[in-house]
Parts: sequence; C-alpha cells; structure tokens
Amino acid sequence: MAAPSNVSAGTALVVGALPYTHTQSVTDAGVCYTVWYQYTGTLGQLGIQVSAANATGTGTYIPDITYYAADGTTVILPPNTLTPIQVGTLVATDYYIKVSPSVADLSAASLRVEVHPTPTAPVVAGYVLINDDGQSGWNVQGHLPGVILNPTTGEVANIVFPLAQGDFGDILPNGRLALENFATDDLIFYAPNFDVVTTVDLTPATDFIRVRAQNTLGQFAVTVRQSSVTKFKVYSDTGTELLSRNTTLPSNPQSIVLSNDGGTMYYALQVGGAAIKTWNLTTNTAGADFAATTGGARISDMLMLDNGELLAMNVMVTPTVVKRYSAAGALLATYTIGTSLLPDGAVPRMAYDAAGGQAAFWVWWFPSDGVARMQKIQISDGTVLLTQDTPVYEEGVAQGDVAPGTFGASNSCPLIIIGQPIPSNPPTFFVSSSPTPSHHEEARYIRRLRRAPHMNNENKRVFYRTFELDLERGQALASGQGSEPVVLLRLSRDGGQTWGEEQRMAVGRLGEYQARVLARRLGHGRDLVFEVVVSDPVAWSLVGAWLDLEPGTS
Amino acid sequence: MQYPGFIGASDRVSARTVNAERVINWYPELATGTPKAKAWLAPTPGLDPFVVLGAGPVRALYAEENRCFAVGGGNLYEVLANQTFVFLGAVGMDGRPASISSNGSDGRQLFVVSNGDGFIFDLTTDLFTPIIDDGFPRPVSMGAFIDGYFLALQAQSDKFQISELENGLVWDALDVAQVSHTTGIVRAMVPVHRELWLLGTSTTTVWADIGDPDFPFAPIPGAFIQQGIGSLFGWTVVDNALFWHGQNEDGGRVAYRAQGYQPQRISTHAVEQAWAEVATLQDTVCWSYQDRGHAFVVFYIPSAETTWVYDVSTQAWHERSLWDPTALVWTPHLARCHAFAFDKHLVGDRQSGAIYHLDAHTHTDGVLEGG
Repeated sequence: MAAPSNVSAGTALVVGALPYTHTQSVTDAGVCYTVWYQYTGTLGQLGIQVSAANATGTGTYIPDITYYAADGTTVILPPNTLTPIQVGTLVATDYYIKVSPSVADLSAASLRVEVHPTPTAPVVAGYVLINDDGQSGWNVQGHLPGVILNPTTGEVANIVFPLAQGDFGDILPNGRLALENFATDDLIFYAPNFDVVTTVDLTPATDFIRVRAQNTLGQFAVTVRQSSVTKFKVYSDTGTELLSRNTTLPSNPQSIVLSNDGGTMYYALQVGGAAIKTWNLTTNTAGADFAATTGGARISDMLMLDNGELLAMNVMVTPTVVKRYSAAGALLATYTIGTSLLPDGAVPRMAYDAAGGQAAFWVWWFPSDGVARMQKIQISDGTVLLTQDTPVYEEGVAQGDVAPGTFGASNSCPLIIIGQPIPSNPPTFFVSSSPTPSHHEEARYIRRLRRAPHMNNENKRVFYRTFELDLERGQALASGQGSEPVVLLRLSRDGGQTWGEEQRMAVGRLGEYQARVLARRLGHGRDLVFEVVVSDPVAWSLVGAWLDLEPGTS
Repeated sequence: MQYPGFIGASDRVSARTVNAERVINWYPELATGTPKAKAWLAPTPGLDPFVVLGAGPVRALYAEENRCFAVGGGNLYEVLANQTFVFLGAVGMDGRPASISSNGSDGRQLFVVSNGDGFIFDLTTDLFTPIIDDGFPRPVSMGAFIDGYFLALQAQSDKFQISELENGLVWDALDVAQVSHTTGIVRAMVPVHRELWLLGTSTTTVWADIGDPDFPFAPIPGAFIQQGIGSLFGWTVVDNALFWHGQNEDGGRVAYRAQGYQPQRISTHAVEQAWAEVATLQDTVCWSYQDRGHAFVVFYIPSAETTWVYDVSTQAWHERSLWDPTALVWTPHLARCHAFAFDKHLVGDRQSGAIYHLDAHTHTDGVLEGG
C-alpha cells in the first residue's frame, strides 16, 4: 500500500463538487498518516459540513479534524473527533481540512471524508433563526453561520452567512433584526433580507449586550455594561439610538424587556432569586419591584405582550417554567417547560411568535445531551402547539451522534422566529436557494383568471381548431421568473361543471411583440367554456380571443 | 372569429350552465377613440410592501395634510413617508375596524374610535389623549365629523352624541340625539355632503346641521329610506355617493348606491347569488379608492371566497383574490382599508400589521405566507 500523497496543506486534495466523498488508505509501512484536503468557497454556497470516519469500521483508527484558514496554519476549529463540523464559507476563499489519527491504526486504516453543502430550502414565516455565539478562543469568530430551522421538521432549511455571532438578539414584526456580535462588542442591525443596515460600536462592553424587541413600539431595548456602568438603551429598528440611560445597577441584568409605552425597563439581575425590577426611563430612577422569583430562579428571558402582560422564563430551577404576569405584576399563569440541562452554561431561552403574534410564545431548552428542543406554547392555556428536537453543534462541532449531511443549531444563542420578511428584493442569502420556486414563493405572484362565456351553437357539436389569445405581448422580464411567461388554458366541455387538463401557451420573451399565443386541436364539444390563468410577474393586459372553429351538424 | 364576450365581468350564477363567467385580479376597461377592441382586461394592482406596523391587523388608515395615521392591532401609529412608523398610543383591540376622523384646521384634532372607546390625537402638539370626559358615550362603535363637531355613535343603540365645537376632548352627555324614525339600532353613521346618514338594521334616516343652538342636527324632512345596512362597516363614500350593502325586513345582501335619497341597486344577480352562499355578511368591510379614472368600491367579506369590487365607471363587477397554492383555493384580497397618502394608495393588511402600496407595477399580492 502506497503512502498517501496529500500529507500537507501544500499537497492537499481539492474537494470537488458537493456533496463530496473521498476514501483513502492512510496507513503505509507502519505509519498512520495525517492527510489534508482543501475546499474553496463558491458562489451560492454559504457553508459546508465536513466529517471524517473510519471507512471500514474495523481496527482502532479514529480520525479527527482540524479546520484551517486560507494560510493553512491559522486554526479555525481545533482538533476534534466529534465530527462532523459545520462552518460558513466565503466565495473564492480557501479552507484547509486536516485529518489526523486521534487513535492510530498502524496496520490498516481507511479514511472516508465527506463534505456536504448546507441546505438551501426556501425560508418562510414561522421558521426559526438561531445564530451562533462562537465565543471561545481559536479563530472561530466569523466562521459560524446562523441556521434557519424548519419548525415542523426540526431540520436546517437554510443558513445565513456571514451573521453576527453572539448570545443575544431579536426580531421585530417588520422583519428587522438586532444581533449582538460578542467578539467586537458591536450591535448589528439587519434588514429583513439580512443585509447589514448599521453597526453600533458598544466597546468596551464587559458583559454580553442584551437585546429584546419591543414589538408595539417597533424598537429594540438594549442593556450594556461599560466601564462599570450599566446602561439601558433604546434603538430604532434601523439602529438609531433613541434613548440612553446610565443606571446605578451593580451589574448587567440577565434579561430585560421594555414596556409598551417605552417608559419602563423591566430587568432581572444575574443572580439566583433576583426579582423582576423596574427602571423608570423618564426619571432615570429605580421603580418598584415588579415581581419576586422563587426557588432561586434566574430570569433568562422576558417578553412583553401587547396587552401589557409580561412573560418571564425561570431557569436554573427544576423544572424550568415560564410565568405570565399581569401589567400590575400579579401572577396569571405558570407554564411548565421541563428539566433542562445547562450545556456549557447555556440556559433555556424564549422568543416571540412570528411577527410578534400574541397567541403563543416559543421556548428553547435542552432535555438531553446533544439535543435542543424548541416548543411553541399557547398563551391562553399552555397547550404545546409544536415540539421539535434538533441536533446541537457547539462552536461548529456536532455534540452528539450526527450523521454526515445532517446540520444543526448552536445551543446557547437566541432563537428568533422569522415573522414576515417581506423585502422588496430577494434576501441575499436566498442566492443559494433552489431555483425551483416553492409554493410560498409562487404565492407571492398575483394569479389572474378569466373564465369566458359559454360557446354554444344551439347545442350542436362544434370542432375547435385553434384558440388564440390577444394580449399585450413582449412584456416579459429580462431574466428570472417572468422571462418566459405562459398562459394556462383550461376547457370545460360540460358548461363549466368540470374541467380538463391545463395547456401551457407561451407568450414570448421580452420584445417579442408579435408572438402568437395559441393552442391547437382542442377537440369538439356542444357547450364549451374557456378559462385562462396567468401568474407570471409581468404586465398582463388581455384584449380578447379568437377561435378557429367548424360547426358540426349534429 | 372573435370570441364573443371574452372580455367581461364576473357574472357567474349558481346555475353554471347559464353563465360561468369570472374575472379575478383583472378588471374590464373601456377603450375610447378608435381602438382595436372596445374593451380589455387591465391587471389589478399588486401589493408593494410599504411598512409593517408594530401590531396588526391594520384596522384603519387615514391621511391628512401629507400625514398618515393607522390603527394596527390595539395601537395608533403615524406612518411616515420614509416607510417607518411612530407609535402614538394604545387604543384597544376588538378585531373590528377602527375609525379616524379629523376636525381639520380649526381644531387640529384626530378623533379615533377603537374597542368602544374614544381618543384624541392633537396634530399640533402630537399629544395622544384618551377621552376621559364622563359625558363621552362609551361604548361607541364609530366616530365622524361634521361642521366642527365630532360625532360618536353609541354601540348597539339608536343614539349619537356630539362633542364640544372643535374639541373632541369635551362631551356633554346632554348633547345626544335619538334616531326615533328608524327601527332597531343604528349600525352605521356616515357623513356625506355635510349630511349625516344614519343606517339602521332596516331603515335609514338622513340628518343635517340646522343651526339649532341647543342641538344642531335634525332629520331632513323626507329623507327617509326603507333600506338599512347589513353590517357596521359595510359602507363607503366615493364618486360623490354613498355605497353600502343593504338590508331591511324583506331581506339583504344587495349592494346599493345612493342617488339622492334613493337607494339604487348596483349588484347583479350573479353577485347576489355569490353573497347568498356566504355564511354571514355582518362582518363585511367596505372601502374604496379612485385610480386611473376608475372609482372602485371594494367589499371585503371575510367568509367569502374572494373580495368583490364594483367599478363605478364601467358599472361592472370583478373579483380580487389571493391564491392559496397549498389548499388550491382563492381567499379574499389582503387589503381591508385605504388612505391616499404621499401620493400613493396605501392599504392595510387584514391579517397583519403590513401596509402596502397599491401599485400597478407590482405583480405580487402580499407577504410570504405559511410556515
């Protein structure tokens, strides 16, 4: 058996088209080799998953992966055997994958490396965005994507990359986001299509920058600890600072939420048993305590409902619960979530429903190792409307038994329910989407229908040679949906009771003003109704129709 | 041969073998001059997202002096030309449309009625104030403005009350009128040509300002109509006339236009047969706008398959609808209220806090749905 040739970054095997699988022997003459692969980011591919395994499943060989930047020496992800890993990739940027024997097999070791593309399914309202914190050393910052989960399957539908990496963030009903970027102490504001609107520098922040949407006001509430001063801030949805208050709080709160009139910040400090307190933003003074906690709980998240009621997630107690309070602080309901692990110190989190919906809220907790569970809970009676588990990737590394090609979410970050992203332009991360339109995407184009009067010749049979539509032609778009518009024609031969199959009639491309839009050999009938339907995004002006027909005699 | 009648209105009747004609998201347009065709189908405008309010659905839109206001969910907002919004105050949420009226340059107040209560927004100071005057006749179902007075229609009653002249914060409980000429309650109160149409469950009376210092409004002699209205908000004023869907002791589900003090039936049997199949019209919301010379009267009926639209200029009906590609069914158009602001037709979403620009060059009809 020959020694492998790809034993350095300089001799790395180039990863070809995705998904990519490569198997090779890594043992020769009593040496178990380290081998290298190189991947170059391509347009439309925002991330990859890499896994390495003992190809035969026999012997002692256990590989581990180290993931390097373009220079082949800067480590992005340190060696690990809990493969696979998932990372974001930039266009035309090189990355190196080193596979070393964590446990060598000097007699016979066969390696299988797989590289899978991140999913590119369409994203619709109700999907769940989870960004990554990536706070550890190394150089993982800037390399981990935000994932978008399909809540009905728990699977990653798509990713957003690059995206701020941090532990806090939220979304407004209009689809605008604010996310903490932990490594740089920035607060980054995003448009609904994830274009960066503005970056607010909050250095030096000595703790996490906490963010919570105020849906009624369309604003973001923020707390940051700078130079031993805890500050409450309020930002517009585009990142304009509307208010800043230096408080006398001894530390940064664990969680905050802003009242619907913008005058009061509710907060709970990062200590067990800390009460939910209030801060009057108008007078910049402490207000009355809102509600006490019990059992030494911490309040990891709070939500403000449109009616002034407040939801508070009580963590680091068994079980984790969410409590709902009236605007006056009276306890109205307690929702039992479950007994949650605290993987790497990550606590359960909570989120508003899509577009700030008031009927339900979401929770995100950890029932067992390597599993994160999201649930949608009905506010009125605590009914669990949805439960879905998803694999956990911490710092880009799968935490459980995850199969190649299966992506997952970070375990310690905010979950954000995508509400109504209605950008004027397609989101940039949809660049990598499947070209096949989903039903949801299709739904956005106006569907138009004309069902014409009956064609009846004293109930005698009529033979229809052609149906030709007169409409304004040549109006197609230059590219994309609408560049080759079609009309769908249906016929009913029983006076509009039942309908036949659709026939497609091409309308012609941009500038083809003389294109003929017709269907031939339409058969015969005694009482026909013609129907045309269009849904391509072009200017449809319908002028009339012609028929070439031959009356029968019977 | 030319397909006879290929260009036409929605005229499908319950007996499909008689007429199955429909036109959805197109409207008939008559050509002038010496055209190739005397009529054609023009595409209805799309919904270009303008702004998404902090709460939904959008329950009212109002524009004045290049300012635009909206009630989204339980909140009053100002909608700005730069496609952002400002929260002005909480007005409560009851799921029904809210009403916004103004006392213009003299009072510079907006009168908002929502969730049975009244609110004043001062256009000069930008101050939002709930009406706390004990004389205010809560719960109210809608507000209006005529001749310096705000008017409040007391819910589930035949009474309306007026504010102090040019001041919607002050209400005298004695400044109240009872519509004794009508039977049942007054469902809707509509100012038309400085006259006040009070539409009941089966009859309508019209009042006017007669200048009486004790109470300025009184019934106009002879202005009594044997036709009421089928819902609180199933009316609109456009093309200098009131349009509504009528109801009286003989029946309902017919669309009318006011010709003087006479109701003129505008619905066709096809429309009436479609409306007859709907579970209820009591939650109908009517709105209107004028675009490209067409005055459109829009009947949003939540439980109907489509939204029905009457084109005043052609007197033809067409349907507007959002196609559900999953269930493969038509659903009503998303818009349910309108304001002409910033030189745009803005409409409010019946489902969410989205406000759209009704735009002929947009070929999409709303938000990403589902999930």
